[in-house]
Amino acid sequence: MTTYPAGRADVAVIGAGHAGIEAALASARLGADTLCFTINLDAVGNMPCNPAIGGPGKSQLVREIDALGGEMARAADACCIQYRMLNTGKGPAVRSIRAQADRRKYQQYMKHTLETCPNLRLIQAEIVSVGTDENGHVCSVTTATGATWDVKSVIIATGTFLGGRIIIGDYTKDSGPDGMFAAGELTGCLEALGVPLRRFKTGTPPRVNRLSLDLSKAEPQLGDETVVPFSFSTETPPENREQCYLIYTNSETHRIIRENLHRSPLFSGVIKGVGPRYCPSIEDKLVRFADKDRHQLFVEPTGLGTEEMYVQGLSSSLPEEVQMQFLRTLPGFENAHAMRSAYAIEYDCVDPLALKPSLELKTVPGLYGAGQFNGTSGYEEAAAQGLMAGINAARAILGLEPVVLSRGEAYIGTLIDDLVTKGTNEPYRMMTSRSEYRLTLRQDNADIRLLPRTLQIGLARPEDIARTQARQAKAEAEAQRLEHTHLSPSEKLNAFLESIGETPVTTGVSLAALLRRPKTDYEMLAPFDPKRPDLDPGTRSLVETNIKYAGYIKCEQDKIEQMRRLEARVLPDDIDYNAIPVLRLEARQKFDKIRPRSVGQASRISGVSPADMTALIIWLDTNKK
Amino acid sequence: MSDLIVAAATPPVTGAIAIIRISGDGAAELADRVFFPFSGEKLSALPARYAAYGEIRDFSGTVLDRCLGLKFPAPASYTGEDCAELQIHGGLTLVNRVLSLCCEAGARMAAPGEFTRRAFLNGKLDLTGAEAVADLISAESAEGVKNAAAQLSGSLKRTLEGVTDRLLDLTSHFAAYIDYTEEGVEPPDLGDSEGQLRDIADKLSSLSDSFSSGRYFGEGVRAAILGKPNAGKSSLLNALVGTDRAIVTNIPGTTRDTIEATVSINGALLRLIDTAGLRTTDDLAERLGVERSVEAASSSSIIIAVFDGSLPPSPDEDEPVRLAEKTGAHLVKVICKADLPLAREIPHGATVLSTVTGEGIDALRSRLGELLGLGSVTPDGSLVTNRRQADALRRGADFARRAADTLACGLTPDIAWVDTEAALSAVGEVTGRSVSEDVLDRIFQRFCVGK
Repeated sequence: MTTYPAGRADVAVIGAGHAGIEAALASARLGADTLCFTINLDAVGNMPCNPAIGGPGKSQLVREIDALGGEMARAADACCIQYRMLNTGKGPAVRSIRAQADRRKYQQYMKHTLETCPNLRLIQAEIVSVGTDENGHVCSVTTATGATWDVKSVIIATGTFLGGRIIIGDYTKDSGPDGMFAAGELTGCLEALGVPLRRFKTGTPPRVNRLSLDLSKAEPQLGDETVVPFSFSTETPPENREQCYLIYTNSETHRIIRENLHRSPLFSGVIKGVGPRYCPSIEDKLVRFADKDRHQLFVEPTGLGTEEMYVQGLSSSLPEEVQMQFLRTLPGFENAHAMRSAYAIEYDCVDPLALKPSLELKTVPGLYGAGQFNGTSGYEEAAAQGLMAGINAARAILGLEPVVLSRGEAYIGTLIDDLVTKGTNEPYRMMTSRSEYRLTLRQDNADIRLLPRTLQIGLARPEDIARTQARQAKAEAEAQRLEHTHLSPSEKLNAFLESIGETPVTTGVSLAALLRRPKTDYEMLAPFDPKRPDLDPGTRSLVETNIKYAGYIKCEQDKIEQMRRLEARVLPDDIDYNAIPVLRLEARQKFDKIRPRSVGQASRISGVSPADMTALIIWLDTNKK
Repeated sequence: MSDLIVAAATPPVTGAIAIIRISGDGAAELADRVFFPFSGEKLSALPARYAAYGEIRDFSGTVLDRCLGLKFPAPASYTGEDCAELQIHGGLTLVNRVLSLCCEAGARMAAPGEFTRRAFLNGKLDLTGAEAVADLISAESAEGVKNAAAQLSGSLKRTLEGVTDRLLDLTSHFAAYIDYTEEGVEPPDLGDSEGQLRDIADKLSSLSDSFSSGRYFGEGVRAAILGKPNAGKSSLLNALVGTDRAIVTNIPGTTRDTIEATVSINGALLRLIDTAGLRTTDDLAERLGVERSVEAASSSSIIIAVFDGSLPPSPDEDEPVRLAEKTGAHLVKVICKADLPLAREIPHGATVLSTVTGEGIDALRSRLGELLGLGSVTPDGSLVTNRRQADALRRGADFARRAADTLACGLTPDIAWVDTEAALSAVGEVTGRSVSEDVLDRIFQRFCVGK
């Protein structure tokens, strides 16, 4: 292949999925001249799996992306057609938004956003190689059609395209998702650069035409009456315009699947990639939970302008004919017309232990990874990493230190720290259980909590920063007011307290103290608080949560502060851990492989003991000069 | 800001004086809760580094000791943080009691090397001495990380495994219910969860209390002396104890029952158990004795395997070695009768001695002393023998109790989840298991979730 010089830029992003989009936008908006390559321009921001955004842990990520100046939340609010607030009864820490997206509209929104972004050029092309200069630093990318671009940084956000191969029963084909070309050549180039690659697997369920279904047999799942949007900047909440449906598998479904298990590539060994426990196929669920007589499935719309429905929970890699048989056993699916078959897809990705917390490869300066390439699963996880990789690639060009969020600051920090410190053996999914600080890292406070970082990064729009500052001031004023407004004991107050099972008061009590009682809430106290200001629901719930759970939040803050001190002790890049005699062999090997950035990160490596840390610190201090 | 930690700054041996050191924000205020100067003033109100004479009282008002108390405000202290010191009398039971009291008052037992680590972080440790400290720590760590769980005695380990399993069930249920909210996970039965948490809290409390009961220091670490009949077990016990506690004859099978004697090595108590010789026999009384030997061995932390050096190795003499492997006890090999011509090769690490000439007895004492000093040896039974473990279990109990309380008073389950997880992680400090991966594994084992 003859190549030709196509021009130059600062940053090249390979891929325009959820990671690539945020990476390209962040890089361009921070002032770096940015190229964004996609194999297919009609696939920008595609949702090849679930047509939904959010969920526990994930909606926290979306809110954090929004706070830092990313695009996902705004795009979701512009394109989602049904919203639900999950976990409302389970506590403020774990409340999460989940919304159904209009897939096509979302793609159109994102493509247009990229097209209209200054400093950004969106190009349809397959990247086949990444070039490096004599220092090993990234210096170019080359497309399949021979265009060579001189660039200073490259962000790989290839999703399931890199070395993609789909599997349906005994049919396999080198392919990206949704029938798009796979990126076949880049893998070899990355291997030559010494990037440690491996193979992961994921899967997606069949899609059916709504008109062929009898949904009167299904249980409708309605959106919330009051919609809470993702973005802090969304003033008019989106409307619910669609609904989902709940159905269950039955003994006939299970019989067909069981009788055909031997034809599943998962069990026959055709699939070699490691799949996530978080997205088991239906045959996997049947094998592992043999005593369950039914499994729930959600039938979800994929957009307003289409009848295509997604059958959540029915992911499978069984042969197509078996899929057709078991689909028709479902209630209301007797005449189902399947529009796309379920398939499994294998792809190449990096061992994330090869990444720095900035998401730059340790051994290839200027090369960054984001999204599924880094071993994660999920649009939100991808977008979060894309945002950070884009920010850090641009900052490197501008001569600035990378921004690394800590576990105590954000789910984004938790996600990246887990990846680069512990690694992962399966596609990593965010959940609230991943965070040890989940009472602090809530979706309701993401904007205020991340404000210092937002200001440091400089990606957010001035009006968003002004709104956050105003909200912070309002929340603080209201918290003060509640602490300092006292009620004297009255018959009315005590009658109320007794009616909800709380002890009556005998002395004056502040509104905040009443709010801290387990069975009260802000709303209930309204009759005793005539002077309360008119606050928006988001700020009200923020104040309420901060007061109600103050004791627990304080404990977390103390832990976060202790950790911050350990994070502040930076470990030099050039330590030769193998030459530190006082370290145990296992600790030496782990430190050498992971090359932690700080004492804090080092202490989280599995198999490293507090004594190892002490030995390391002491050795460093004694051998400083 | 740093949390309060406490530890004995003096070695775990009986001496005239022992120093209890507290470090962290509010160290003097914590001391105020347990130490009461006779002058009537509080230590926190007294000048820095002034040695106040007073008494230590527990929360029921019982006086434990009369001692000196000093405070060292930051940064002029060992760790560079606020510190307080209590210079008490040196009995190990007392040291233990005062440490427990400090924990009840709000401190936490320091992790290994934690004082040193803090001193380093605050730039306080003398760098010339630091290399030596590093060597010491790395030696300890090699021992310490071998396998935390393997160091637990059999029944304590089983009890903690049971507790861990129940906590994992509870935590993973909360987690699945919250993280997989739309996927049909049955809500946890809050009443049942509360009951379980209270039960777990009680179990952990009583384990933690077993440490304060002082059995470790009061009764000593059990060491069973095993070997073939007439190998020299009773003579060895007598030589170590210094009296004719066991009947020593050269007729095989004289010791038909187990005989116990207590010796003090480096200030720590060792409870020696002399056993009947291990051999197959028809004599009923002796057979019972043999069974008792095996029993004694299985509840011991140290097995002293005695071999007769004057006889060539016999095929059935390795029973003590097998018993040690089975029970996880520390094995100490002794070749007796060094006064007679040796008829075998000396196995690696074995101590050669003669109870007749006294040769090698001191070497054995110091070997046993090393084992005791490492803190890696624990007495029998479901007893917690290490202060740090006792403290971790106490915190685990507190968290479990708090989780039960939050459920009882109707707070949302995310809070009970946080406390249940904290209880699990405190128990994990003792069993050496990492919590987050275990919880994930349990979620996917128990619940059919994921789309």
